[in-house]
Amino acid sequence: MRRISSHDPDRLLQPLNLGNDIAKHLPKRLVTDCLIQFFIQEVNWMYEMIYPAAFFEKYYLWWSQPNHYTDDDVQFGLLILRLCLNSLQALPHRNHPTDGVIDAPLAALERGLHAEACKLDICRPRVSSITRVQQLFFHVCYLKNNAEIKDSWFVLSDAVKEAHELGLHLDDTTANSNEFELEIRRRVFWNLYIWDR
Amino acid sequence: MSTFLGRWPLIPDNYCDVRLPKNNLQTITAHPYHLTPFTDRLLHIHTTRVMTAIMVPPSWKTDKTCPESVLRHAKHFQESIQDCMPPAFNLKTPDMTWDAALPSIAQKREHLKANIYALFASLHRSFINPYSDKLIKSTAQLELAASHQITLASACSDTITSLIRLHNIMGGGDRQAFFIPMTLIETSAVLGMCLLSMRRPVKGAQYYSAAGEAHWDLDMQQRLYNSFHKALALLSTLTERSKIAQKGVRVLQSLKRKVESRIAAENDSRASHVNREFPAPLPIPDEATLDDEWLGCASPPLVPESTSNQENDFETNNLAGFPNDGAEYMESEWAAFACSPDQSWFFSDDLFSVGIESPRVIN
Repeated sequence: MRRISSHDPDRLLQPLNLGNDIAKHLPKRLVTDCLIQFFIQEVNWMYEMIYPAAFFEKYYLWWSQPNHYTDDDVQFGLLILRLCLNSLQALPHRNHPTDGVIDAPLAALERGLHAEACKLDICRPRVSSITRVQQLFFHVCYLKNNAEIKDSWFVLSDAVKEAHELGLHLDDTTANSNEFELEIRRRVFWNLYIWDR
Repeated sequence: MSTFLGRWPLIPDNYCDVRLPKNNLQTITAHPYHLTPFTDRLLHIHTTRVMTAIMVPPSWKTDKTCPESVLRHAKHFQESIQDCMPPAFNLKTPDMTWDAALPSIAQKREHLKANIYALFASLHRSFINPYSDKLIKSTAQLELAASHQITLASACSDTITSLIRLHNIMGGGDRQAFFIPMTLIETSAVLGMCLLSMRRPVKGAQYYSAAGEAHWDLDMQQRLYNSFHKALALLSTLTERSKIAQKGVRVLQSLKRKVESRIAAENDSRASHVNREFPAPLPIPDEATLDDEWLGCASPPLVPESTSNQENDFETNNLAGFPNDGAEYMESEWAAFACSPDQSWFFSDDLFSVGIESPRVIN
């Protein structure tokens, strides 16, 4: 995959046409659906970082797009990968049945998804977003579950910096955010706060 | 993470000016109190803020080893957190009316309970060995410190019970997770150390808590030992995929052997004295009559004076208990544990590196 840099001049002239490329970084739609569903049902209860209704609305829209132009599209693709990885970690055991949806060994799938996430993660976005903070949060989760504590601490600091950039530590009285968006911002911030402590 | 890694927080408290989440999305019920899928997270936030207010100020450095200060903080913790839980998350008798409407509430409840009990235990962590001469300044402090040890051990036991329930509610298995194995490791390490350092009475004298109950309660000790054993058993089941659990079982093996050896010796001693009439308890001596032997503050003997008689002669056991190398063991092998913030000992010890090359534990 061609390295994308925020300083890449070509990027300013042409829209990103990573639609097919982005999809190649994710598992098959059926597998992704299965893992995302598992995440919402079995994993999300712990942090409630994802609001299911809003997430699924964006999820189906994302898959229906032929192209992914924006930083947020890439970050959302990363978020999908992170949730899939957390789901794989949360499966009760390595041989957990998936009704034939996942035909690869789960450990191999996890390694593959992690590698794809690393590839996408080199594209640091020009503008911070809630989606980026969320995907970093779940990257912290993944690393902690994998006993990579030092790395999780560094990623947590990245997440906090992004949150700071977004102004999540302040009540957003000036932006044109509706009450729902403000509530999601508060939830993201305070979840980061708990983990920081 | 900053607390248990011993690092400064990434989000400074005095730099934030944002309200708490409103807890008004996906409302299950609004009367008599708001219950949503996010309610437990608000309780986690509240608990975190209370603990931050206690542990972040510089005064905590001295407070944590002062029995009176810890008692004050523990009461504040209980009044601010444990007594304020909404009915659905009550620690002792939760209201399960809405469990069918919110299926995840059962695991949220146990997760919250385990977290609260673990934090309550961490307030008393300095009293793993209250008989250390660093802590005890008077008889009154000894009583209070000894009761803090019991509180600490009981809170660890409650944490372990909640973790086991949580694991079962989640369907068992050996998930690759952080919270359950890490909390099991910390609480079982603390509990094991408490079991090693708990003292038995000397020649009929007993320690009394402020409520007048004898500290030395064999049933309680058995209960605590059972919790310790169950924690290690659950941890062992998680070693298939969890590197944290693998390291934890490896690190705790020596502690487990010490605890089992002590319990076995205790049981043998009990069995040999079952028909003897214990002497009536004597009142606690005045401070003026105390000597180093009674307090156990002087250097304990390196080995028991007479191991062959130990099992058969209850009255001649010295204050350090049996086996007498409990304190020595703690100092030599667990020095880093005693000095570090709650869980950083586990990650900072270079002897126990966590990595894919770590050997798999075989029990």
